[in-house]
Amino acid sequence: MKKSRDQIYNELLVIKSQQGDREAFNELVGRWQKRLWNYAYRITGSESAAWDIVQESWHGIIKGIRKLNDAALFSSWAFRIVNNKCSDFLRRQHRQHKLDDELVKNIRDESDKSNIDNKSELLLDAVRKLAPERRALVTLRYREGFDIEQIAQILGVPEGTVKSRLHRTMNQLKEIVERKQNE
Amino acid sequence: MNNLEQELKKVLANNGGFDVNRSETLRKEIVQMWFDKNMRKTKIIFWIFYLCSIGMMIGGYIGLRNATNTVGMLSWVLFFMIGFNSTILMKLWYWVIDTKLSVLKEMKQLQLQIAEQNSREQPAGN
Repeated sequence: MKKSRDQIYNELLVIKSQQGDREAFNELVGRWQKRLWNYAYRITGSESAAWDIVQESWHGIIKGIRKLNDAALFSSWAFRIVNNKCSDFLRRQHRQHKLDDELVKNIRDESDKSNIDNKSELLLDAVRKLAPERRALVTLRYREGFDIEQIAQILGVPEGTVKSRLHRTMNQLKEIVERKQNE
Repeated sequence: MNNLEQELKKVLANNGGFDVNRSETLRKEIVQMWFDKNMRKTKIIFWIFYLCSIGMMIGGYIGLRNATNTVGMLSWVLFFMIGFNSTILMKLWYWVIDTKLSVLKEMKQLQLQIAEQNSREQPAGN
């Protein structure tokens, strides 16, 4: 597969960081911070938790970046670290319902600000209703644009499982949206 | 890609209250931490091993000078050689890792130049 200029540049930053180039690492953090935060936010539903998770994840990335053999794997490796931290967080907290309420509030606030139309709001609401692992799947696929193989690496499950879960999740989303529209 | 997937892409891209100022603060902290802890830790480990190896060499040399029998002398020579070879192996290991990364870096820079060249040529060709 032909790599884009952006992907190659990212790999170059990873290699330079492995060599101890401070500027390259600074740029790498700048490039990935927002994406990693957004992913953590989507899974946990809490802004403050997402910041904590991102910070912890960077600790993990710092520890392991020199051991990363293939710079091209950086994105899926970094997301896997964030995903694991999110799972730890959700296990520790045992308060998904409370977080979901916070997420609904956040989503409504934001949708008011950005004039998202009604169907979009319904869809976001439907995403919120999904289990965290399904939210992760949808986010990785439709926000981050990872392919099935990369998602399988991040979530640590076989590709077939990713495909079937994604299919089920999309059907579930469709059902929720249709049901809401009919109400 | 169906409508639902396109809609999903759109709404997921719109959502999220990312705080740029907090991000900048965290970024500085992370980079500082990486530089202070990670890089310094590597240097400290390198110097500890290096000084241990030199210590072995000095100990081996002193032991060799004070040894009274052949077996003792050979043991101290072996001790000296282990220390001596450790310093060489450490430098060699560092050189191998650094060379590997330098080659990879050069390759990526070349790939990047080719990709940039292609992206410049494509609009002209269209």
